[in-house]
Amino acid sequence: MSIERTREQVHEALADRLLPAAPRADVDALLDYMEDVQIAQGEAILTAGQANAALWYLAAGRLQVEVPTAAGPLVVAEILPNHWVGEVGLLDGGEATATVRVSEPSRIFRIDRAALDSLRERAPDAALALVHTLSIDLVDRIRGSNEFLRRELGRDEPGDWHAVALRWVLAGNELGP
Amino acid sequence: MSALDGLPAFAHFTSYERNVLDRILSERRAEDGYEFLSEGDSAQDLSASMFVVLEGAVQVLSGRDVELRRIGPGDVFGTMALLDRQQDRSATCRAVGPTVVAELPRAAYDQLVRSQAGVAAKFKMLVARQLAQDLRHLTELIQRAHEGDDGPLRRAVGA
Repeated sequence: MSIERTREQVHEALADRLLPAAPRADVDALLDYMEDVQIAQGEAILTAGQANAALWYLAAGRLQVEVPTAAGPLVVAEILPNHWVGEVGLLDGGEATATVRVSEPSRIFRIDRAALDSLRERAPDAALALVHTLSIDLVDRIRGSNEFLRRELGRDEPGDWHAVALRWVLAGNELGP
Repeated sequence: MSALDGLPAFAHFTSYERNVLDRILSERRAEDGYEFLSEGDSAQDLSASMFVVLEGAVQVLSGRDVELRRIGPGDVFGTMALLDRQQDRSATCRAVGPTVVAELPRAAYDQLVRSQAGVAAKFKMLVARQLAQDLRHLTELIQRAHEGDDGPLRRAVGA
C-alpha cells in the first residue's frame, strides 16, 4: 500500500476501522488535531523507558515493537496500518514500555495530550469517541492477556509464553511478529 | 461541595464538572466484606454500575478469594463490563473495612454522554487512565517473569 494516502483516504480508514460510530464531523475534528509526522525508516517513534505523552496512528507502512531484555531487544509484534500505538503513555503520562520503530516507509499521524485536551474542549464528542475506542482496546488487551496468562501459567509445564504475552499487552492478539 | 473534592484523581476537574458528576452519583456506605460486584454477574442491563471509591478500600478478587489488587480513594472499579457491554463482570469487588463509594449507573452515564459530552469525555479519560495503568502494571509483571520471577504475575492474574 502506498504511503501517499490522501486526507480523504485517512479519514475513511479512521472512520471505518477505528471510529465506526462517530459522525463524519467528529472524525474531521480529530484529523484536524493530528499532526502528519515524517519519521525515517529505522527510527524509533517511542523508546522504552522514555517519556511519551502522545498517541500515534499508523495510516500506512509498518512498525516494529521491541522490548528490552537482559539478552537484548526482543521483537514481539509488528504493527500494521490502521492501528494506534502509544495509548498507555498518552493516558497515564508514564514512560513508554516498549520501543516502536518504523520498519518500512510509513505514513504516521500523532496527537499529543495537549492537542487531545484541546479537542475535548472544541469537539467533545470526537474526544469521547476516541477515548472510548482506546478504552475498548485496553479492555480487550487486559481481558485477553489475563485469559492467556491463566491458561499458560496453569499448565504443568508452561511453555515459552513470554513473547506472546508481551504481544498481547503491547499490541493485542490480532497482530503478530 | 462535591463528594469528589479532595480526591487527587479529580483534581483536574473544575468545580462545575465535579458538581455535574455529583448530581448523577449516588453515595453508598458499605460494611467490611460487602460485595459490590461478583465475578460472572451480568453487566448488560442498564442498572449495571461503575463505582468511585471515596473512603476506605476495595479488594479486587479473582473468584471468591484470590486478591488481585486493592484500590482506594479516587480509584474506579466496575468499568470493564461497562465499556465492553457484551461481557460479564470479570472480577469480584469487596469492601475492606467500612467503605464509602459513589455509584454511577450505566443509564446515568449514558445520559451524561448525551447532555455533557465534555464532562463525560473527561470522566472516560479517568477510566481509561486506570485501564492504562493496569495494562502497564501487567506488562511490567510479564517482563519481570521473563527475567525469572513469575510469582507476582501468577498472583496478579490468579493463576
